Amino acid sequence: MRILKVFTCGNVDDGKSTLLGRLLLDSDSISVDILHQLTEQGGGVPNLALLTDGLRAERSMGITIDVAYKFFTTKQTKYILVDTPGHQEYTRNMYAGASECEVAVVLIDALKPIEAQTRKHLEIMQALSINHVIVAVNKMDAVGFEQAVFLERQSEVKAVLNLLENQRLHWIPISALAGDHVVKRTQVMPWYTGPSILECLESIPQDPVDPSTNSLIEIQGLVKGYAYGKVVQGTFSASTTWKNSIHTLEIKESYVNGVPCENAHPGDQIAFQIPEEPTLKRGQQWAAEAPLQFTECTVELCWMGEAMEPGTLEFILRRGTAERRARIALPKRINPNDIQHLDMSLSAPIDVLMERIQANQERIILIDKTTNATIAAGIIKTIVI
Amino acid sequence: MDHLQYLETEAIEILRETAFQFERPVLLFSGGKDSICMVHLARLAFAPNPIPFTLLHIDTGHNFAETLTFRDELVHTMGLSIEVRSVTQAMRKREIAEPKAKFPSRNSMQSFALLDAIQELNIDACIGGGRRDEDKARAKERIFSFRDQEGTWNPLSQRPEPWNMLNGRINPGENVRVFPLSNWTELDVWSYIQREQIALPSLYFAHERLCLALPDGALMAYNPYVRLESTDVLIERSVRFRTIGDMTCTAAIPSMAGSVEEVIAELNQTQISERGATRLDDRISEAGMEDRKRQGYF
Repeated sequence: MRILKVFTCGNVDDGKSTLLGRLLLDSDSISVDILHQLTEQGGGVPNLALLTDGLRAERSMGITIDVAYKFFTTKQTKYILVDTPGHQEYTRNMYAGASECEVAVVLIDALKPIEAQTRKHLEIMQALSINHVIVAVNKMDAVGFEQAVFLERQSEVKAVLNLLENQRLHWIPISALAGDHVVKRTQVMPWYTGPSILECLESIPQDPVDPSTNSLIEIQGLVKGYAYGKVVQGTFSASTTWKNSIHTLEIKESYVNGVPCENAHPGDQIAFQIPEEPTLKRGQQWAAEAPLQFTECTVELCWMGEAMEPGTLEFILRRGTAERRARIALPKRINPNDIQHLDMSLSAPIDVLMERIQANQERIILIDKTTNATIAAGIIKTIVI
Repeated sequence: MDHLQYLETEAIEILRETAFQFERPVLLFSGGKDSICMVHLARLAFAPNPIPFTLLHIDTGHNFAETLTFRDELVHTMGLSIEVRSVTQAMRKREIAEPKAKFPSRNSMQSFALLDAIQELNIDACIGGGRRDEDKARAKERIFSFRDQEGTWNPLSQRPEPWNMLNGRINPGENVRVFPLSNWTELDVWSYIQREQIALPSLYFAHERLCLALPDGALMAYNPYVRLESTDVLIERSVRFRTIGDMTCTAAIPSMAGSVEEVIAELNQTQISERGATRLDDRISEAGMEDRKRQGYF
């Protein structure tokens, strides 16, 4: 069974909770006792929103504030559903929840033209370069299942969407309330011949082909004669001569996920014996063809902390396991949930592969020096060598 | 990547980040299947070195004897270090009386002993076996879940974890709860136990046991802490436990499943959620878990 991470987003009242509930209900993923509780709370019909709004504050306000994680499985896939908030105020939670997903389901209300918040969601999908975007036009039952309405919403989205090369778009007209085209295909919209949302998810191919040419590992830490690390891209082989910008490294006695093994793949957790002259440190990257180093870069950030006034600001930057002090020259005020391009300089160099910058794969977070809160997340767009 | 492979890899990475970002992390060990899996994963994470975490067992004083025997054997055979802290003592210190209920659960009082231990041992990270599929408040929790100086969880201001980048930086007196099994379901845990051939306490498999039959059909293991009434019915049944907690709040389920394979087959058929089937403490209120977590619960 494979894993697929899917996030759902939509403007307030576009029917997102109903869609999620439908997906879980129609795939038989809700236990009888939970369903009983939801039905009691809904006065006879299951109140599906309460399934994901897990916090007291969310239930009392009737909105989603933070990300909720739900799971369901089909024969071939374990789904991790990341339910993200729709309110503008909580956009940062949506960015964080979406960041790790392969698929986005964006809900659009058939009844009204797309609004600013939906544009924001589409902008984030682009910023995060999510591979598959399913645009589900909901409440088709309320517009008489008219194809013209579906096409109208489609052209509105197309006008604001400027997808990257690797992104694929899927359009599905649905009624989450009635369950049309969520799990099952129904006959109410004969003009639509495509898949349901679940069928579309099931058809998304497992692990896209890794286009990288260079193999890269990152060091997590050292314990008593062993280094611990992770394969970032390419294939790990113990026989490779690993390089950083200065040294080379020959690996002896390697382990993959705790078992003696000489080969590993992206994501795998490796350990290996440290050579006698240790040049290894947490945060380093080693590759088959030596990585570069940089201290100056431009980043596209999603601001998650309090508003900041223009000026020079200093934070702690994390990239993978590397931490540096980072200085940003803020040209204008930045508000929570803003997405902005900024220049940044680091206190010491960080290893990087140019191909990963070009593929928008170098991600960072910024941490407040006093409170230690994570106050921004983003992607490195360019570096100065 | 196969789903178990993915979950294992994710958990190992989280355990390594905990070891490398904190000074004095502990692994909260209850003797239940989730914490036993975590010990297994911690071994894989740091092989060939030993597990760099001390185990911390918060002993309610109402444990099943089988749990304690299993704990001691595991600690002995794997050469682990363990600290045990007693809920009984934490209650005495605060002059808290035993609950008067028919089932005097000490479940919520574990928080006191845990918060005391965090202070005493100067712990900066507690690794717990909590899973997001267990409860809707847990479904909202981060992998590195920040606790302030009072040990409180504030669910409305959690640190975002984009791309699973875990921020474990804290100021003195604060701590982090770490959940490596966040994305595992009950069935994932059992499938992993099967794949890795992990040994579990006998309580998880069908056995004959004297039980108290409750009016709603639940079966409670007969134990010395329950206040029996003359109308109570004791029956002998083939049962097993889906979760192992305090004896006074963990119900058994009727079962004939005697092996890991049979348990998995049984779970594939069941219509009832894990906590719904077994935990009296979660039936009390809808926000039961959120409220306990805010006060420092696991």
